[in-house]
Amino acid sequence: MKKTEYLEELAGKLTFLEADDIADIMLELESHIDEAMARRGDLSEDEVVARLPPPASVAARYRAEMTGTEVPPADDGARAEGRGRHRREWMHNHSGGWSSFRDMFRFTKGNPQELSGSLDGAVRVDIQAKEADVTIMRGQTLSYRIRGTWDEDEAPTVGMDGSIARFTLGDDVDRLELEVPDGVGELIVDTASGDVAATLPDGTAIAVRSASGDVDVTVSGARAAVTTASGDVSIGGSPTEAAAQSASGDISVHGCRGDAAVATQSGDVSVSLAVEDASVEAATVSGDVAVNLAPGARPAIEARTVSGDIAAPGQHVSKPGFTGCLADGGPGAVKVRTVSGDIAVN
Amino acid sequence: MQGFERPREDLDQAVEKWRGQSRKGFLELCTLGCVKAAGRIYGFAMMERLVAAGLDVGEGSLYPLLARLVREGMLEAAWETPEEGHPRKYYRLTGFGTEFLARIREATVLDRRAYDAIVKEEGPREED
Repeated sequence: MKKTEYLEELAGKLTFLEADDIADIMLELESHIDEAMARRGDLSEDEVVARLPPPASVAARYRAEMTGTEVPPADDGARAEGRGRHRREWMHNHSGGWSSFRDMFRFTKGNPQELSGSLDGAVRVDIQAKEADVTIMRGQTLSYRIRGTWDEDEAPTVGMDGSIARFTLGDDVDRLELEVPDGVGELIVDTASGDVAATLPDGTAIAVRSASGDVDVTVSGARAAVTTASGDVSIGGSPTEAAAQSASGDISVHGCRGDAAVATQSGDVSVSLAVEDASVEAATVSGDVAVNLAPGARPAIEARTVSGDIAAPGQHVSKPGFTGCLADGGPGAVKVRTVSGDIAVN
Repeated sequence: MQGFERPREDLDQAVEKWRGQSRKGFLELCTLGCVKAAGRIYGFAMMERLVAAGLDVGEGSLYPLLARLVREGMLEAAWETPEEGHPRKYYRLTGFGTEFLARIREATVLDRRAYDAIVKEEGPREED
């Protein structure tokens, strides 16, 4: 079936709508088909149209949404059936695996693109990374290289906003490599699924927020703050302060020269301190918590667990429901709370 | 009441039925969230993102849903014609839609929290 035949058949089933609305729907679906054909040069018009749900089921869905008439989700059933048919045919015809309309979305991107350059005078760097992996290294100037397969209208933007260097990367950017010189006070990185790996100059702080990406930062003489939903977090170097939060990711903080505050639900936590007077606050639901103190440190230790085991210097407590002080001391304090995780302080 | 063990083949069907019931509102939430995240976006790109995120959504669900969301004043749409290429219909959130999304998002978080509290087996809840 050709595009025009498909659209005409659909229009004929949308007569419960105003003429203007029908025309608008025709234009929109035509735009959709054109886009699919432009992205997928190896498919004929008929093949692209064959991957659409049948006009009758699209019309039924418009009727349900626009007139409030509840109909069984016929389109989804029909579509799933149609899709299954394509899938099976494809599996027969292509031994290398099957493709379907949805694969078209995933694997048809434009040509590889690259954007690089450098910026002067930034005291802060603000990166909106979406799906791109971000790698940050020390360098002489603030220079960047961005790679991906974007269309022109979704190209990444880079520029100075006062003393802030801003990077806004679209969905089609795969990678940002950034070199950061001394004198940049802080980096802020916001990403959805991309991983972030950073080794920063002395004195540069970093704040990262990520949904599913892993975050690995090496910071010295400055603060590191990381929040993720499912990604793992690793903070190393010699941060003056470390803060990390995650829902299901593991968190590790190494060589911390100041206070560390970490919280996760199901991930495990490991914190090692490099100075005697630093404090740690750690909270988990089911994750285990391990705290390694600096040599010679004798902080106050408070722990609270509902069902986990506790091990601390000079004692081993293994009774559910323990809440209290394991050791008096100071400077520095270690406070650990968990529901079912084990606690170890060494 | 005596239980009975249904054949395993019924399981897929039961899951499909449940998902069919829960899916409609969830797709609406995701669609509005997708528009919010993008700022402005056209149907094809939206579908691309929803599918890439793992949602089972087709043209037959998305476009009628978008039409309703415009009619309800959650979204506004405008055609744009580039110098080269075909015209695209771009959607963006209205003020009303933005507030609506924030409210239903909050509601789903509370629902999820309720579920988590109900099934939590680790023992007494922590009181802080």
